[in-house]
Amino acid sequence: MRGIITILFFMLIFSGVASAQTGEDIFYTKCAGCHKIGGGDLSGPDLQGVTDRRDIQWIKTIITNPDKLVQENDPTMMELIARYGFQMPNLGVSDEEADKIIEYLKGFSAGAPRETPVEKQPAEQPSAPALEGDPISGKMYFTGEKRFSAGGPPCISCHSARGAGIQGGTLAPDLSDLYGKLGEKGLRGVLQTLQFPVMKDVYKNKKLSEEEIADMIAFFKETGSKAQKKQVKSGGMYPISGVMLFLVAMGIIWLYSRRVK
Amino acid sequence: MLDLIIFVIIPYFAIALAVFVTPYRYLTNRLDWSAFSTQFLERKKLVWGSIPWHYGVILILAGHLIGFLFPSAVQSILSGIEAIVAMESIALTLGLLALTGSLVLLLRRFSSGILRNISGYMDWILLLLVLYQAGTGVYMGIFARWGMEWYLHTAVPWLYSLLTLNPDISIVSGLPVIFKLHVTGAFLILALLPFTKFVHFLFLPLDFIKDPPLLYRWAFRKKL
Repeated sequence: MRGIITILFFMLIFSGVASAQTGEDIFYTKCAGCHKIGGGDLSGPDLQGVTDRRDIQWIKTIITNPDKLVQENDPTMMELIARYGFQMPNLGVSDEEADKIIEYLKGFSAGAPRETPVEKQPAEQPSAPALEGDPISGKMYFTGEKRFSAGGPPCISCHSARGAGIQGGTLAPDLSDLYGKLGEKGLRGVLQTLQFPVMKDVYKNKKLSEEEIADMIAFFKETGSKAQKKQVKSGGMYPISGVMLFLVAMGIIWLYSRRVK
Repeated sequence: MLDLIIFVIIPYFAIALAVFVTPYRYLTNRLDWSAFSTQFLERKKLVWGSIPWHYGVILILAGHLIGFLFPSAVQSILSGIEAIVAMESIALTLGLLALTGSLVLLLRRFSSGILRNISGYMDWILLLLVLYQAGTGVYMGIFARWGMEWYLHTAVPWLYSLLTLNPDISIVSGLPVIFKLHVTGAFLILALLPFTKFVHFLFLPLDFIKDPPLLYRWAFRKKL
């Protein structure tokens, strides 16, 4: 029985992996996709010193319930939407998590002892005339029929989306309505940087090209459109297919076991 | 810190044990280099345990290895949605075979009195470990698809970074807990390899496949 105890012990240790997140952890999981602290804007504003610029309660509201600010026609929110081209999406951050994030952000305020050299970048990427993307091509990139030139994995590895023609991965969120959430500008920013947990490392030296980004945006635009929304998600046969094959294999073993009597 | 333990310390520890202790055991103590077959003690349930387990796990392990050795070849095989579904279905089948097999083997050892009596604690640890490993694998196959795709871009680069002695855990530390559990189980098994009957894994009995089936003959035989 000592063995069982050892194993239970290991399981106990590792069950704690997910809990006890600090503000920094949460920031890098939920915010860092669009925000940096020092070093310029991504698809959302640079958050260095944000606790000096804005009221703490306001920050908490935009983190936990951005839609409320839009409904109230909050002037700052409206200005931000105008500047960045889309509204910050609701990321489902709890009050408790928001407090931790704000605590973390306070560490980067002007009064904080920490110093981060700020390289100011122009808020707007010097945008060449936007390329017209091809949604079919975008879909092929999404499913991996066409590979990203720099060698990055296809989106379907971890994400699903309506209209991809296959159930996608379940490791990461469904991207069907990404276009609606981020808009073209936001989507471009996100696809250029891919600053999400795991993705930022997986695509580190495998950035998408401008053409690929344009195709992906075209695909997401089509997927998010109303016509596509009506489509029922194509019911894939996985994992039932695996279970069926497994039963066949067990049948073969049964036949095999009867071979020698 | 925990990630460092899971993705660097345990793996190196396990690899060191496997690499250095295995030859030592081979050279000094080869007499108990065996799978310690218990077929003689219990035969009926063994078919449902040993066969699914071994066919499942050998092929699954081969799959992990092929993905590791030839990531770009596997990548091009997976181009196309039908290919992904087909390959993942096969992998899930094999995983389920291994899961069923290891579960049956564990229950078999537990339910047969004579077997339980001769089982040491290591027998239980090994069976629980492989059951756990098959369980976490199947769980990921179903709930964290498509593992075959993301394995190539997360676990494989990390394993290469381990082998080139330049461990880079950034790429795997953001993956879900179930993946970390699976990795930990894998390296625990590797660490136990040189000390237990797991060493029989290092001898693939390929000649055995073409042998005719073994026939047990009894002088008299009761209906079982």
